[in-house]
Amino acid sequence: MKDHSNIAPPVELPSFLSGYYSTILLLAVPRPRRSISPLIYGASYANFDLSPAVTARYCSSAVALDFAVPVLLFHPECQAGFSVGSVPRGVCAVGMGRTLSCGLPGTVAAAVGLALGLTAVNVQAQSFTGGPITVSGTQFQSVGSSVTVSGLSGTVNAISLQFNNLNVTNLDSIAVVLVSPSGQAFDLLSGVCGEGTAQVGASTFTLADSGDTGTDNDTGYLSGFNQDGNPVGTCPAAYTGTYLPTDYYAPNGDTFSSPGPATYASGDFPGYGSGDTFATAFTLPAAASGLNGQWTLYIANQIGDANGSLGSWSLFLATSGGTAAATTTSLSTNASGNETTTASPVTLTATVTSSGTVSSGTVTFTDNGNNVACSGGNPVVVSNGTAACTASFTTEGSHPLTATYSGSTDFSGSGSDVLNLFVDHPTTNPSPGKYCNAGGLSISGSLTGSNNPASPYPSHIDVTGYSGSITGATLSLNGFSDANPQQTAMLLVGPTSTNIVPWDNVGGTAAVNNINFTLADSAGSLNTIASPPANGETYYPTANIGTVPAFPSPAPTTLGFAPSLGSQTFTNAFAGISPAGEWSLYLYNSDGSTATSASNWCITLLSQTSMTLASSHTGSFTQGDAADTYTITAKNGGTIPTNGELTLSDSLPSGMSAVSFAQTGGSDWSCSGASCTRTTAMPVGEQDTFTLTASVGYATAIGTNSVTNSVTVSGGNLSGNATANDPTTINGGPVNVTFSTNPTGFSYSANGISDSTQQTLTNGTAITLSTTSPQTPSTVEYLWTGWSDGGAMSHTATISSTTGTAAYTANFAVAYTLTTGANPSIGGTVSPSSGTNAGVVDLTATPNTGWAFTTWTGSVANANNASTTITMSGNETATANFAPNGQTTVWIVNSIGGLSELTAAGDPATTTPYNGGNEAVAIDATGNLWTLNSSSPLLYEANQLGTQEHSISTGGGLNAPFSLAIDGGGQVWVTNGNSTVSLFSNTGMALSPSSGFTDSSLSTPSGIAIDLGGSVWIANKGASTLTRILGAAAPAAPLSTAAKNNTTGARP
Amino acid sequence: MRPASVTGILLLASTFALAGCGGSSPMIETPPTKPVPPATSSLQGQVYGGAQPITGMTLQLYDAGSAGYGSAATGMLTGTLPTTDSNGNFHFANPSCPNPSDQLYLVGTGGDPVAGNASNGNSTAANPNLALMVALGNCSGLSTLARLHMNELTTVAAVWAIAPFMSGTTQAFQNIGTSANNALGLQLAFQAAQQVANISTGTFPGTLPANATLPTDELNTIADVLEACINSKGGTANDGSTPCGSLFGDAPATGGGFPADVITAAMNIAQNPAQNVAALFNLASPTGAFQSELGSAPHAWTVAIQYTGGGLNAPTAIATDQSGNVWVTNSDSLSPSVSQFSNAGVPTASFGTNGASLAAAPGGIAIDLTGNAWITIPSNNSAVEVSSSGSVVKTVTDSSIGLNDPTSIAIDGGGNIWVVNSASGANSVSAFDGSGTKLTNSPFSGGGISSPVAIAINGNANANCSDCH
Repeated sequence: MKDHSNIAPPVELPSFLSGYYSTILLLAVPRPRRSISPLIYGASYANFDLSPAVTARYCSSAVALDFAVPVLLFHPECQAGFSVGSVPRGVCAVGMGRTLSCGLPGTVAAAVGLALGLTAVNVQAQSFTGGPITVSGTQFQSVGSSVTVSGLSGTVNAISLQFNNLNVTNLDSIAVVLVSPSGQAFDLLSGVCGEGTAQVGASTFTLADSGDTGTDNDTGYLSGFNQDGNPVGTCPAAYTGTYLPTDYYAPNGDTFSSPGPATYASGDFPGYGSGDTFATAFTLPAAASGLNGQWTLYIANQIGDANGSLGSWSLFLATSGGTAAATTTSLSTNASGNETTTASPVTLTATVTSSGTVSSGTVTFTDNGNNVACSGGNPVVVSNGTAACTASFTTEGSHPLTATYSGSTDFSGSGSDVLNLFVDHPTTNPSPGKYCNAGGLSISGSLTGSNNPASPYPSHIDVTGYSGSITGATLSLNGFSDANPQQTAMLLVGPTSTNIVPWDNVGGTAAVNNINFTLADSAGSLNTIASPPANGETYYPTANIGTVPAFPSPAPTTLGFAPSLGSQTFTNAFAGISPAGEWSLYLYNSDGSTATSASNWCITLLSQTSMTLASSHTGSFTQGDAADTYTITAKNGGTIPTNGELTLSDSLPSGMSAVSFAQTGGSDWSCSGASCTRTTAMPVGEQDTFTLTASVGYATAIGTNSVTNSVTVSGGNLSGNATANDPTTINGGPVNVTFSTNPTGFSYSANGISDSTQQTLTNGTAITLSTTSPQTPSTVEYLWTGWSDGGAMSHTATISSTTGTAAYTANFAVAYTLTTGANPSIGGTVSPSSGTNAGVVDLTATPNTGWAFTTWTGSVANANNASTTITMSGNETATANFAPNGQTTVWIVNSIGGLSELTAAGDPATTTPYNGGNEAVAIDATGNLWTLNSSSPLLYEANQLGTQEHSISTGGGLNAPFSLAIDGGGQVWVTNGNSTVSLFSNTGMALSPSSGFTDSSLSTPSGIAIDLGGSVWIANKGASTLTRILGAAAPAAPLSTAAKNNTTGARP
Repeated sequence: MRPASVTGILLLASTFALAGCGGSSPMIETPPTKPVPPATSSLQGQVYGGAQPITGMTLQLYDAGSAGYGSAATGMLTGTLPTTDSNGNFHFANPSCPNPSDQLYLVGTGGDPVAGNASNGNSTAANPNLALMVALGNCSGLSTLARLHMNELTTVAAVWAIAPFMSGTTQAFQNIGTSANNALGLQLAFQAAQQVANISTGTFPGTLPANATLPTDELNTIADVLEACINSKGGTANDGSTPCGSLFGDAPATGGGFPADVITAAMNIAQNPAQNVAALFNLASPTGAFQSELGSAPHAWTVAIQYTGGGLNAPTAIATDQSGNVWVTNSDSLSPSVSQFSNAGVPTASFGTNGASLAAAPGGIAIDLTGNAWITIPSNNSAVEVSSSGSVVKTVTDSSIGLNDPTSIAIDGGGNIWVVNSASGANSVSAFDGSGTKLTNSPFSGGGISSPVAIAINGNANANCSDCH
């Protein structure tokens, strides 16, 4: 077929023509046989020259040659008042330097949809191709090749023949003849390029009555020598283009031996002037039906010196007025699922099928009625039944595509079904697990009605590169603006068609502008969506009760509404699915007057990365075991493979030591010590097994499940470390137990065996130890001082060895006398009491009430600690010293006799009163209590524990005592009812004479007090006087300051 | 201690009363200043043994010690010590005062009791046992002293008043001192000595207040006991032949040993007044220099001074305070009151001639840490706080405290007031703080308290006690 691949598309195309013709040639022909005016614009064929510089081109023929496409003539005069059937048409055949002929008038082919001033011409050229021919070296031998022409209808107006790859030595030696089904023969190529003058290379060229595009000359003929011997043109390296049938031997004739024709018409040669053309040789125009049938081409070597071959040949028969065959057109794309992205060009392929191969006409591709901007132009020429258009689609959403076949002379036009190509914005994957569509969503606010899907609808995210399954997802909308959020509903559909309506009838009615928010199960529970939603917030999916949104098609019809309308959550919708594939967001606005938009939206896939760990062992372990085994399994129980290095660390029970640690039956892990690492990802569901062999030391705790092997897996991007615990029962091991005494030579018993020195016993079991004390191995008496384990003289111990050995020693020491005591004796008590002791003896000093321990006197370990020890390296004495503890106490004399004691807070310090007087009381420097009594003993001294110190009934003039005072020297002054004063030393010795101190001034003396200067003052109740005994007493402070300054009974 | 009220502070300033300072006086509290010569640049006087001047007696002026009771005194005169002339006169320049409140006393030792020796046939012979003294008091008063008359009476007055601050078996006059916490006590003792004997005349009484009565016969007797030794050539204890030997033999020291000087002998008698009373009595010549004497030996050589007035009226309870004052409750039901006397025995004027009146008969009395007295009023079930100026500043009657016929009273080191509730069946004690707020859980009835009659506090406080206040 004639090559038209270099036919350029029109630069401009009137819009009313689009969609009907694949290639449009607009010609402005002023009038028949006039110059084509410069009004011709735009389009041209490369092998036409319709540039304004070419003039005087005429249409002289009603036959269109070389056109495999419809040609339209646009007649400027017909722009108005045009009517079909009365408009000239021009079907032009052109040739370089030749005239353009127009046929006037002619038939006007029916053309659907033609508008003003247009005419369509049903002109077709069908081609039939024959096989190769090998040129024979034998003179006159005809070698032929046939083709069967069929399906022609109407009138054949022109025939042309194309040689493909004719490559013959001595081209001038061969002759070529074409024979029609009816036997008409036409010698159309002979003696070309002259005898022996030149060799022509492999050539592909066409012979046609209009041929004049050859490269050898400008005559229209193939080059050669005419009958005058003059060269015609020059032989080229190879023939290309189109030439007139050329027969330099026409005057003489060629010979084609049978089966070649005996008679034939001969082509012209320059200067000969009477040669035939295709038209004359085959009496064209001719009824096409007569030309259906077998056509044969013969090549015969007229000299016998030529050889070579013809690759193939094609016979073109141009018809007009025939009946077009029905066609069907289908449309397909190379986009998977007819879905692409704005970043990916798509090739649309229209396939035109008919009874024969369709290689004429054009296909126009449209997108929602608009021509697709195909990279190679649109319409696209149909070749071998197909036409392809590669185009980029920059608008997201559904694109309804059609392909319309224009039809041709032989084929009728047809159109494809609509193919919906869905164009997405490319999915981005800004971070692992997060996928976004940045193409935006919008719903105009100028719509009406209640069914307003967003554009695009839906918007897609294509998840790729994600391995494993997910536990859920979140939905984020960014740059979200909504004039009335409550009117907006959202539907997210996952790749497995599960879905959730996470937003419906929520968010209030107040407009929000350019906010980012996320819908996620993690936001809590119901109704977390604020009204209006706020930037940066995360909300729980919520679909409130209201009008159930009617998401238009193609949204699914079964919807998972979030609470409270439904119970759907992201987790419910998507947990467990493999997220790879297409996610769709359907945004819908039930109020066409409120705009909604988002600059982008994202889903975040939630995954679970977890490891299932287990440790197990068989039976129980025993101390001393060299190799006990723990079996550890680690399984990827998550939804995605691990990522990054995994570390499995085992923490053996204290006392156990790892002997070996390795993966069992695999080499994914590298183990060292008590840990293993794996650098490769661990697929979901894979389980690895490890064997940990350990020795059990004696320090391992004994008992049922007394220890625990603990193993942990970390790393690998796990959501959390996994830990497994394996409680293990440990049995006691055999212990080598030895026994002894220190010094040696004493008797004892171990488990009933006297003086046993060694036994093998089980760790953790009981052993009974006993000995006796005192023992006198020779002449010196020894006391048992203790067992090495601290047990009693006879005791049962539990063997507790961390080494596998144990030793028990009974210690003895020489017996000495320990003398203990308290100073003062009322200050407290000492344990133990005096007696025979040996070794290190524990000493404890316990103060009595009101006293405090101060120090030890003696060779004690710590003289300042009430609980200490003393080492009996000889006879020892330990005395505990006590002092008043500084606490205030209150003493009360009861009228029935006796002393009660209270603490400074008034709490009782005694349960029952101590012995004492019944009249008055005074306290001396040691805290002892001096009381007066109305009957014997008249003066009574008790210490703070209530113990009697002195009991005085007579002496010093004591007589019906009334009151007393103690001076700074601890002396006790007493007023007597017989008007005397008695004085006693602190030790109870009478210092006053037996008469008492007397003075004429004393008269029923009652109160008595000592002053700072040492005088004694006495109130004489009887005489109403005071008596001062000058300087007789040790100075004493007033009682209140004495109580404060601890100078009671002492000088200030 | 309860917070000092404004009243209390004014009280302290106006009376020199002290709170919690162990009895030191405001004077003693004055920071030491550089020694200042007294206005009168010399001290002069005369020494007599009985009626006779003592010649050649060596004089030393002592500054009482402050390092403890009986601690060493400091001789203030240096170089060659002054001695008395043939007429017993002495005269020496006053030394500088180390501290104005230091207590000074003059001691004369040795010398020749001229007349006495002559009367005993010893024309001129020194008596090595001679020792006489006179208590001078505050060093700051040295310059105001008139001419002194030192004799047995000034010695007796000084020794009996100061005996609690004296020590030593010989030359006890060198060991007169007090503790750092009781300078006031020593000062009061020196004042008492001057109340007994007039240091300018060597006679009784000294600065004794008019409401006081001295046992002059006893004092004269003691002076004559000493005079027998003074006016002699001396001797040694129990030498059997000399008055001094008898005196010293009958006046052994408390812990044994015999004195060799008159002052030490006198101190031994004062500190052991019931010792050898009759033997000592017999040493006094019935015609001794100091008359009149006791007609017979007393039961003991204690010296008792009697005081009257100040509203004393059936006094019962008595207490001394930090300033040395003596408080007495008067139990007469018709005019119940409380009286206060200075340590000198002078009634405190602000208490009135009948004492400070009380609402009803008092029970017991105790002095608090601020120097105020707390007195129980049994019949009113109350306790009243009386300031040192005689005003009732607080009456505690809060029934919640549980006061019920309160009698005996005591105050603890924290200033809490404890009283016994003597009412039948009360069987309790009550306690409240100085502001009258009861202690938690008062009244207390634990420990077997049954019809309590008396109460005492065992402070035993020391530096380590956890609840000292």
